[in-house]
Amino acid sequence: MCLEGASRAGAGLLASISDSRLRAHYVWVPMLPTDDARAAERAADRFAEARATHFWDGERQLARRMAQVLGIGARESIGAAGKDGLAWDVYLAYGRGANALERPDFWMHQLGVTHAPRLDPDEWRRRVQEMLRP
Amino acid sequence: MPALAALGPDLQPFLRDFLGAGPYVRILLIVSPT
Repeated sequence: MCLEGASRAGAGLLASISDSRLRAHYVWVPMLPTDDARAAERAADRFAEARATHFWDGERQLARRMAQVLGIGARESIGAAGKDGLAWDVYLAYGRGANALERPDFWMHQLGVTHAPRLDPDEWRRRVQEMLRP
Repeated sequence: MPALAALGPDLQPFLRDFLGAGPYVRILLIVSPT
Protein backbone atom coordinates (compact mmCIF):
# COMPACT_ATOMS: atom_id res chain seq x y z
CA MET A 1 0.00 0.00 0.00
CA CYS A 2 2.64 2.47 1.03
CA LEU A 3 4.99 1.90 -1.85
CA GLU A 4 1.99 2.12 -4.08
CA GLY A 5 1.30 5.61 -2.73
CA ALA A 6 4.94 6.60 -3.10
CA SER A 7 4.85 5.29 -6.62
CA ARG A 8 1.64 7.03 -7.64
CA ALA A 9 2.07 10.33 -5.82
CA GLY A 10 5.86 10.50 -6.21
CA ALA A 11 7.53 8.58 -9.01
CA GLY A 12 4.42 8.60 -11.17
CA LEU A 13 4.05 12.33 -10.81
CA LEU A 14 7.70 12.99 -11.61
CA ALA A 15 7.47 10.73 -14.63
CA SER A 16 4.49 12.63 -15.96
CA ILE A 17 5.84 16.13 -15.25
CA SER A 18 9.33 16.83 -16.57
CA ASP A 19 9.47 20.36 -15.18
CA SER A 20 12.81 20.91 -13.41
CA ARG A 21 11.11 23.20 -10.88
CA LEU A 22 9.34 20.23 -9.33
CA ARG A 23 11.07 18.67 -6.32
CA ALA A 24 10.06 15.55 -4.40
CA HIS A 25 11.04 14.84 -0.82
CA TYR A 26 10.42 11.29 0.31
CA VAL A 27 10.42 10.77 4.06
CA TRP A 28 10.52 7.05 4.83
CA VAL A 29 9.02 6.22 8.21
CA PRO A 30 8.85 2.83 9.98
CA MET A 31 5.21 1.83 10.31
CA LEU A 32 5.13 -1.82 9.30
CA PRO A 33 7.06 -4.72 10.90
CA THR A 34 9.28 -4.97 7.83
CA ASP A 35 10.27 -1.30 7.89
CA ASP A 36 13.83 -0.44 8.87
CA ALA A 37 16.69 1.71 7.64
CA ARG A 38 17.79 -0.95 5.17
CA ALA A 39 14.30 -1.10 3.70
CA ALA A 40 14.36 2.70 3.46
CA GLU A 41 17.65 2.53 1.57
CA ARG A 42 16.17 0.07 -0.86
CA ALA A 43 13.11 2.26 -1.32
CA ALA A 44 15.31 5.32 -1.86
CA ASP A 45 17.22 3.37 -4.47
CA ARG A 46 14.04 2.30 -6.20
CA PHE A 47 12.70 5.85 -6.29
CA ALA A 48 15.98 7.57 -7.11
CA GLU A 49 15.49 10.55 -9.40
CA ALA A 50 17.49 13.73 -9.96
CA ARG A 51 14.67 15.84 -8.53
CA ALA A 52 14.07 13.61 -5.52
CA THR A 53 15.69 13.56 -2.07
CA HIS A 54 15.23 10.89 0.56
CA PHE A 55 15.12 10.95 4.35
CA TRP A 56 14.76 8.32 7.06
CA ASP A 57 12.47 9.29 9.94
CA GLY A 58 13.45 6.39 12.16
CA GLU A 59 12.12 8.04 15.32
CA ARG A 60 8.92 9.19 13.60
CA GLN A 61 9.67 12.80 14.53
CA LEU A 62 8.28 14.32 11.38
CA ALA A 63 5.39 11.85 11.20
CA ARG A 64 4.33 12.84 14.72
CA ARG A 65 4.75 16.55 14.12
CA MET A 66 2.83 16.51 10.87
CA ALA A 67 0.03 14.48 12.43
CA GLN A 68 -0.49 17.29 14.93
CA VAL A 69 -0.37 19.91 12.20
CA LEU A 70 -2.77 18.05 9.91
CA GLY A 71 -5.16 16.96 12.64
CA ILE A 72 -4.50 13.25 12.29
CA GLY A 73 -5.37 11.35 15.45
CA ALA A 74 -4.13 7.95 16.59
CA ARG A 75 -7.35 6.28 15.52
CA GLU A 76 -6.96 7.63 11.99
CA SER A 77 -3.32 6.61 11.73
CA ILE A 78 -3.86 3.13 10.43
CA GLY A 79 -1.32 0.76 11.92
CA ALA A 80 -0.12 3.18 14.60
CA ALA A 81 -0.11 1.72 18.08
CA GLY A 82 -0.15 4.16 20.96
CA LYS A 83 -1.76 7.48 21.68
CA ASP A 84 0.03 9.65 19.16
CA GLY A 85 -1.28 10.25 15.72
CA LEU A 86 1.21 9.59 12.96
CA ALA A 87 1.13 11.13 9.51
CA TRP A 88 2.08 8.45 7.04
CA ASP A 89 0.69 7.63 3.64
CA VAL A 90 0.29 11.38 3.32
CA TYR A 91 1.24 13.49 0.31
CA LEU A 92 1.65 17.23 0.65
CA ALA A 93 2.27 19.93 -1.94
CA TYR A 94 3.88 23.33 -1.40
CA GLY A 95 3.95 26.15 -3.90
CA ARG A 96 6.83 28.46 -4.72
CA GLY A 97 7.91 30.54 -1.78
CA ALA A 98 6.45 28.22 0.83
CA ASN A 99 8.02 29.04 4.14
CA ALA A 100 6.22 26.84 6.63
CA LEU A 101 6.00 23.08 6.68
CA GLU A 102 2.78 23.45 8.63
CA ARG A 103 1.01 25.10 5.72
CA PRO A 104 0.94 22.92 2.62
CA ASP A 105 -1.09 24.29 -0.26
CA PHE A 106 -2.97 21.02 -0.26
CA TRP A 107 -2.56 17.41 0.79
CA MET A 108 -3.97 13.98 0.20
CA HIS A 109 -3.70 10.70 2.09
CA GLN A 110 -4.53 7.03 2.31
CA LEU A 111 -5.56 7.01 5.96
CA GLY A 112 -8.86 7.01 7.80
CA VAL A 113 -8.97 10.81 7.68
CA THR A 114 -12.15 12.44 6.42
CA HIS A 115 -11.16 16.12 6.47
CA ALA A 116 -8.80 15.90 3.49
CA PRO A 117 -9.17 14.07 0.17
CA ARG A 118 -7.89 10.58 -0.35
CA LEU A 119 -5.13 10.21 -2.89
CA ASP A 120 -6.44 10.62 -6.40
CA PRO A 121 -3.40 10.55 -8.72
CA ASP A 122 -5.15 12.42 -11.52
CA GLU A 123 -6.31 15.20 -9.25
CA TRP A 124 -2.94 15.26 -7.48
CA ARG A 125 -1.17 15.75 -10.82
CA ARG A 126 -3.64 18.38 -11.95
CA ARG A 127 -3.17 20.42 -8.80
CA VAL A 128 0.62 20.21 -8.95
CA GLN A 129 0.66 21.18 -12.62
CA GLU A 130 -1.50 24.16 -11.75
CA MET A 131 1.04 25.24 -9.14
CA LEU A 132 3.83 25.06 -11.74
CA ARG A 133 2.12 27.46 -14.11
CA PRO A 134 4.01 30.73 -14.46
CA MET B 1 22.23 4.47 -4.31
CA PRO B 2 21.01 7.98 -3.36
CA ALA B 3 22.00 9.53 -0.08
CA LEU B 4 19.51 8.80 2.68
CA ALA B 5 19.67 11.49 5.34
CA ALA B 6 18.44 10.58 8.80
CA LEU B 7 16.05 12.95 10.49
CA GLY B 8 17.00 13.46 14.10
CA PRO B 9 15.19 15.16 16.94
CA ASP B 10 16.20 18.47 15.43
CA LEU B 11 14.30 18.88 12.19
CA GLN B 12 15.99 22.18 11.33
CA PRO B 13 18.42 20.81 8.71
CA PHE B 14 15.52 19.13 6.95
CA LEU B 15 13.42 22.27 7.14
CA ARG B 16 16.24 24.39 5.73
CA ASP B 17 16.53 22.05 2.78
CA PHE B 18 12.83 21.71 2.29
CA LEU B 19 11.91 25.35 2.60
CA GLY B 20 14.92 26.68 0.75
CA ALA B 21 14.64 29.54 -1.67
CA GLY B 22 14.13 28.95 -5.35
CA PRO B 23 11.41 28.59 -7.91
CA TYR B 24 10.44 25.13 -6.77
CA VAL B 25 7.12 23.49 -6.23
CA ARG B 26 7.74 20.82 -3.62
CA ILE B 27 5.94 17.66 -2.74
CA LEU B 28 6.49 15.90 0.55
CA LEU B 29 5.65 12.22 0.81
CA ILE B 30 5.68 10.56 4.23
CA VAL B 31 5.53 6.86 3.53
CA SER B 32 6.47 3.40 4.75
CA PRO B 33 9.36 1.83 2.83
CA THR B 34 7.77 -1.62 2.42
